[in-house]
Amino acid sequence: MLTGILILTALQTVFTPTHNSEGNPDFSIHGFEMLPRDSVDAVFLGSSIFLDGISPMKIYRDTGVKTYNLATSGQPVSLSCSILERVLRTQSPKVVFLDVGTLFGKDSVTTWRYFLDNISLDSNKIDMARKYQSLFSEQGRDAIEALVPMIAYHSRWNSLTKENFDLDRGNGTYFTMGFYLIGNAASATATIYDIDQIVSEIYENRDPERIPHPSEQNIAYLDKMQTICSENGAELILVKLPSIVFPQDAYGRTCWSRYTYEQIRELATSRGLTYIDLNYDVDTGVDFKTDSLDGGVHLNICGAEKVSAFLGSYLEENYTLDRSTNQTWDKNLELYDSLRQTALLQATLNFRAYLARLAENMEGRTIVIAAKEEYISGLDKEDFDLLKALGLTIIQNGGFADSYLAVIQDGIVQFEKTSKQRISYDDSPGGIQINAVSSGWYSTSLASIKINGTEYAMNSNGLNIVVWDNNAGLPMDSAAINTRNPGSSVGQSGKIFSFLRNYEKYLMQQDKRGGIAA
Amino acid sequence: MSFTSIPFYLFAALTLLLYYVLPRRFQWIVLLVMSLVFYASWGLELIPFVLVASLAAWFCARKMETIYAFTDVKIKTAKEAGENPPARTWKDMAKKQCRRWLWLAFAVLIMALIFVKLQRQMATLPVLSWIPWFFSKVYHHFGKLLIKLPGSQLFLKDTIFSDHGRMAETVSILVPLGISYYTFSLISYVTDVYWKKDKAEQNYFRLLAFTLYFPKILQGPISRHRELAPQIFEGHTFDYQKLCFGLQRMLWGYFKKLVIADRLAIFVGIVNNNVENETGAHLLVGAVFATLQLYCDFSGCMDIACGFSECLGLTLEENFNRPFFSRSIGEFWSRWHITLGAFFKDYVYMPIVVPHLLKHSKLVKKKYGERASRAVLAIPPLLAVWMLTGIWHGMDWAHVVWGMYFFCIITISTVFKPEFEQVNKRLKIKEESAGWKVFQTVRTATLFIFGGMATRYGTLEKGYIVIKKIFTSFHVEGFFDGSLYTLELSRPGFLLAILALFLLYAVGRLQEQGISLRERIADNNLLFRWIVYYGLLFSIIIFGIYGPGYDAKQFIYMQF
Repeated sequence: MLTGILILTALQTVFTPTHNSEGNPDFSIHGFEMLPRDSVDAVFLGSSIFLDGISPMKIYRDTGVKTYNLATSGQPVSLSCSILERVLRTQSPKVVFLDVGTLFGKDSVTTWRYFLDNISLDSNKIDMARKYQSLFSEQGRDAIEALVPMIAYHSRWNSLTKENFDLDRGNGTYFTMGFYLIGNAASATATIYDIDQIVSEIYENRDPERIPHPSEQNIAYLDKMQTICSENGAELILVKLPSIVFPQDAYGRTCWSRYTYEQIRELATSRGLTYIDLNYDVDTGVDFKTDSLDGGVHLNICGAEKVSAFLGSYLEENYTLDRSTNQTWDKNLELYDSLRQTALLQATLNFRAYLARLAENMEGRTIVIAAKEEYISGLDKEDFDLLKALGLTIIQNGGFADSYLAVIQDGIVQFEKTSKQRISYDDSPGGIQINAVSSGWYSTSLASIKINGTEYAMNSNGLNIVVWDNNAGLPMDSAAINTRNPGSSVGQSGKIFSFLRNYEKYLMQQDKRGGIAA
Repeated sequence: MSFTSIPFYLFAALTLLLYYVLPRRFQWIVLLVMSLVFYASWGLELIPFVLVASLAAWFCARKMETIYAFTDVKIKTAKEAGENPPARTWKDMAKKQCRRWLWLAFAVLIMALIFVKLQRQMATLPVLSWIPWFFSKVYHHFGKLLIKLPGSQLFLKDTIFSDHGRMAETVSILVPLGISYYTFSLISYVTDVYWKKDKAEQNYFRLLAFTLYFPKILQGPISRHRELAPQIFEGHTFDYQKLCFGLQRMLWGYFKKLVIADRLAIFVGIVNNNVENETGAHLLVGAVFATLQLYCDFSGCMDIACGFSECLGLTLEENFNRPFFSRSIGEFWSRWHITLGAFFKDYVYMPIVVPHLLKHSKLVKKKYGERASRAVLAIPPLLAVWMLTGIWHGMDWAHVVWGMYFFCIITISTVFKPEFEQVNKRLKIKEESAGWKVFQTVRTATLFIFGGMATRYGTLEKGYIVIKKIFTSFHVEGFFDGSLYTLELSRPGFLLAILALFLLYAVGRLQEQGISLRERIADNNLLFRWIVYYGLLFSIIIFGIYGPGYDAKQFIYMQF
């Protein structure tokens, strides 16, 4: 019997999806479950806008206040309410931040499952499963299926991946404290005031029924959360992070505008709740040209740092919270900084700023630069000076449409060459096998950077750059800048998201090995 | 509460616990109460049907037994008084009196069955539409007084339009669970009492415990009271080996149902609902899969029912005996749905043959010879049995055609048996050679699969289209171009189904050789045994078709 239960438990772990591919790191919830009692003073509950937009470690670095981000993709307010109840079993937060965007959302099985699948079995989980059943019974969902994930997930037998067989996935801490760092950047093409004009046209003149309203059920959950908070000595604060969503987009239902803002303002006033809207009330300095990962919907690492700086100072100014340093949090901060630096490098779109970031941290990295077609016309003295800071001096000697190839390891230039001919580099400095090729226009335009047998170069015109972490044995970034034209911005490879996730996993493994526990 | 639902697993565990914890004399009461709970879980509204049917059977059987007993006492008393009573006459009179009660029981039981089976057709006939309309109204009002249990869903299984009176109204179709199975069981009970082969139950609740015994109520087997009732009432002590064997059999049943039948159902559902647009190759695979699905579904349920009964120390009649190893259609039907065949044989075929045909066959034998006499003995009862079997499966022409199809095959093979043997002799076919056996087995399965085409697609016309496409628009490339895997059942799912069917074949093959796998496994060491048990259990958990997003199909034969 015991053997059977053990086998079933192991199978459940294997079959339960990690959800990581959907942007929901399961280790975020596991990490929270592992926190010592009463170790955080504030929690963030909400959707992916919070998940990608608030960095507890940034708040800790700035203020010493310890917080945890418990937002999940598409988190409905019903789930936020249940999470709050769970939080209060082990923590005594003084402040609970709720993403008000969720008040306009709907319940979804997937988001509930994500949370339920990743928490340990206890009476609270059973309560949550019953609530799940009451919410989704019409869809044939029940509490037993929520408590025994195998019932729902056994049909994944033909789509299991290697990742699913990591039975140890529930034991790690999450050094970002729930924040999901993303280095991708895509600028928004409008401001919140442009959105106001667009929705005004749609709502007032074309389709007044499209004006979103918080559902009665969601308001009831908000009231319940307020009651729970007041009973537990916490303050519920409603927050809306900067977000630009066109109503006609795929994410249109999450479009934030004056219409939604005013409804929430009224709702908050009538209930005596604090409401901070970072779109209309506070300017945190978020620049949607550089600080969003997807054209305005979500913030990337740059935007998240600005918002978190504001929230940190808000907590510091308005509450008396424990700001003492903590050894565990300091260790987590080291790991966080490693990941943050990588994410910031990825998110830097300005070429000169990018070179400056590269120069900041050369130790433990291998940088390979390969030119394609033509790289020199758009570079000027300031660029060459920044490249010199990397140790690259030959680059400025190249002629029009020359090939150019450079390899830098631990700050030392291993190879640098320009030529009218195709340039190849095949060597293994520091045990890292590098096979790189640069061909300018004269030699049939190609940029290839293979590290340990895998191609990482974007093969775009201009300079192609691959940054490799020597210790982790993982790629950090792959970018390309069309330096034929002056002032070109950095183009991001589509692979950088997975680079960051792999590096995150590596750091977590290091955390486990190093015995760092929250 | 389906056999494949989690509440049933808990319910079964609770039943076992109560059954063995309480004193033996209360065991049948546990079974009665749990059977009532099980039946009510499908809808409290369904219970009156079974209560009335069993009450009628109980009352009539008691009356018959009282009449017989009274006659026996009367004869005995007369004999003791030194008289020479006309015992034969009195017994005939008693039988005549009993026959009235027998017909009364038949009338109640068969009328209820016919009503349930024909209410759809009745509702569309202006003359008869008041009958389902009336019952529907009664049930609607009656139903409001009852507390509905969760899962009560069969009461209003379907609604149809009736032209009763001046107003067109919606009439509810009532489908009492397992009505065919318990009706046939009760018919066999009252008939056996009439024939004095069985004793009447004095306590109504004991007959109800037999009638409602929940492992068999969903899909049979059609149990005989004289076989099952004594086991229910005798009381059983806990037997670890029986429990293990029972659980193993239940596991095997779940494997057949959840891993094979419901997986094949995915493919079958898509292909059978798109007959016009599918190729002959896909339709042929669909027909083969549909037949195997039916077998695994039905026999899987029987394994669960028999397995659970074994856990209780009871032995249910077997309904299947590896029919796909049969070498003729006659043999096939003696191995498929055995208790239905046995019921028709004992309560239709024999009563027709013995008193009526035997006399005529002797005359025919004198006049036309042995073969003609055998034909007279065989054909009319076979016609009656197959007509009834067809109608039992469905009240429409497709099922009548289906019944006649098997009637024709069995009749031809029986009447022309000498000619077939002659042909085989001339062709020098060795009837016991392996090749000939394989040919016969494949031929039998093919005939069964093609027979099913009359009813499988809803209408005879569609069945005809399928057969026509198989012969005229086959498209053999459909087996190899990957299109087979685009019909909802993915390539891994398809391969898994084939593997599971191979396992089913291998187990059947060993059982055909007289090897008891359960005993072989029990003879092995602990580690091996548990590897086998867990292997089967976890293969059901992983590869079974169940859970949200995919509801395990209701057992196919439950609708009868």
